[in-house]
Amino acid sequence: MDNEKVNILLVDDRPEGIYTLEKVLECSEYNLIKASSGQEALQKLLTGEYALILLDVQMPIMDGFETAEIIRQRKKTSHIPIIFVTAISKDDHYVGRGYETGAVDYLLKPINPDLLKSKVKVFVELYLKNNTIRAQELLLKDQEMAQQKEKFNAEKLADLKRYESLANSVPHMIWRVDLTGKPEYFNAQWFDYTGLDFKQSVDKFFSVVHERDLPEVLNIWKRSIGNSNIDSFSFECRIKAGKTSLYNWFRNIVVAEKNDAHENVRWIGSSTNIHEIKEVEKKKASFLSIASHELRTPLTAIKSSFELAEIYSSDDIIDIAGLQKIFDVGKESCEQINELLDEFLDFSRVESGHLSIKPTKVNISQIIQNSVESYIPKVKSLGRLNLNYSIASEIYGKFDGPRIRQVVDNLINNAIKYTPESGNISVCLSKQDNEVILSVADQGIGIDKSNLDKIFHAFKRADEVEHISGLGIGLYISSWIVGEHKGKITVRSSLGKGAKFIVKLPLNSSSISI
Amino acid sequence: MKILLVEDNEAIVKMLKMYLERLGHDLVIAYDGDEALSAFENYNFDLVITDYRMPKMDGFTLLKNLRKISRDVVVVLISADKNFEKNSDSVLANYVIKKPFSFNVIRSILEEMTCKKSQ
Repeated sequence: MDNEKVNILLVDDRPEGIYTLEKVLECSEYNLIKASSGQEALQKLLTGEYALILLDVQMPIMDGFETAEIIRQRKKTSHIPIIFVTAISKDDHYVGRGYETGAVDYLLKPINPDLLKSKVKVFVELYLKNNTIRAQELLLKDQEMAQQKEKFNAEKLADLKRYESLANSVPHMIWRVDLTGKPEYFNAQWFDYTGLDFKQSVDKFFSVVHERDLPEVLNIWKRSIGNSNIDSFSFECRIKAGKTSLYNWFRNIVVAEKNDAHENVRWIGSSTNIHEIKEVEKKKASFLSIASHELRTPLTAIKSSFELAEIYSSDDIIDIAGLQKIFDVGKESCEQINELLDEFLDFSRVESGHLSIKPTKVNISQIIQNSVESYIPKVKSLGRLNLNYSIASEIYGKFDGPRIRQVVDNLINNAIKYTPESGNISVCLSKQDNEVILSVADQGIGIDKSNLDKIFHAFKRADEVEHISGLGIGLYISSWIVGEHKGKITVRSSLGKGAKFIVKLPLNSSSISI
Repeated sequence: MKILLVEDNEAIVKMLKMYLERLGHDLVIAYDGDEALSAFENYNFDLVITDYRMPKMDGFTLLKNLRKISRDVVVVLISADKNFEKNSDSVLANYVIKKPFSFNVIRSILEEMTCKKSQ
């Protein structure tokens, strides 16, 4: 059937009847289908679309009316307009029956060619118009669906982008694996930290895990990833940084993504860098170990003094001078424990933000003088050191006196502690412009250049003093106190050449936050 | 007995000195490993009591150096670390005692040495 042309069914039992219709209607726009009986007409109607049926009324076996009735009954054909062609229908009875069976028009024989043409033309145009409307409806529907689909896709893409930018905006490494554990997605942080591209990340997912942590990680992974009863699992491991090839500790939390039936469909993992926390934990553990170590030494002296006092007091003639010496040792050691505990407390106050500076107008010269003088007996008893000092007098400023004293004490104490051989210790206080400058210099073991930047940090004592007793928080607290006074503490030193600590404090009280 | 005491804490030195001298022993005091080694080269000691944590040279290093000079001298190593004995180097010492120690422990070590000497 030609798609371009419109189908018209011509039904007549007489070939000359068909011929007449054909001759009149023949044109490039119509496709004329012929049927010589009612049955044949019904058969032809089963296939194809028809714009119009021209139906002869008087036919043997099944006449035009019967055929029309069946055509109307069939859903597929019920809407096709029928024009009856008849020679006898002038009679009203025929006309009436024709309309009852669904005819839309009548043509009387002999056929008037112009009338036939114009009637057919009207119905064909109607048919074509209907077809156009239907086609437009379909087109509209298609367009609507396409628009909806486009909108849906755009939303989905926007969602995806939002999800990705969300994943890229967090400091954690985010990744996704399927239920077999095969990686499907990594956020920008993953690529940035590991230095791997997507393919490498998929192929060598576990290559970034430290070999010492790998067996444990794989154990948890294999136990969890295929287990439909598990909603989440977590593990800690060291992961290699691409840029430095160093490993950082990460805490990894893996959460199952669920479908509507609440079944696991994939896993979403997040890896959080906990290296600093781990380092602090390690440092705190080592601090506790150092602290308990430090406490045991004066504790030993106290215990010994009790035992010795017991032995001495059981003598018949009491050695008063001996006992006094023993008690002095006991008291000094108690004082030492007290100082250590003060240091612990200061440290924990600084760490928790509870240590505060209370500046009042003080004579800082006097504070430094008092501190230096308190060390003279100790230096004398050691015998190996000279303590020199040059202190500009009467410098007044707004300082927290006891805390400044703590700084000077700490610096002089360190100078004594780290000068094991003979040497000079020089304390100097001067005023320069709007600043007061305190320096404490020794000729002791000094500090290696590589350690200079870490001595002001908590627990970070220089390597070369590992064996010397001390908590490693004195300079940390001192630098905190100086910092709270808006001042600066610096050190000049090299290994074996002594050390010089310089503290600069502003005299302008307005710069001090109270 | 001639005893070398190596300890950098003044208070502990004072107490041990008073105790050991009262028991009639001859005591030499060193405040660090270097002083200890030079003393060890100049005198013959029956016993060395040394702290582990000291400036310049720790107790182990001192112990290794002492053993190069004398395999027989009895060495007591004092430590504040609970897990100290796990360290394989501590076998170089005859005794390891922990802070805070009791004088009774020192006395029993001295008595044991006297017993062995008289046998």
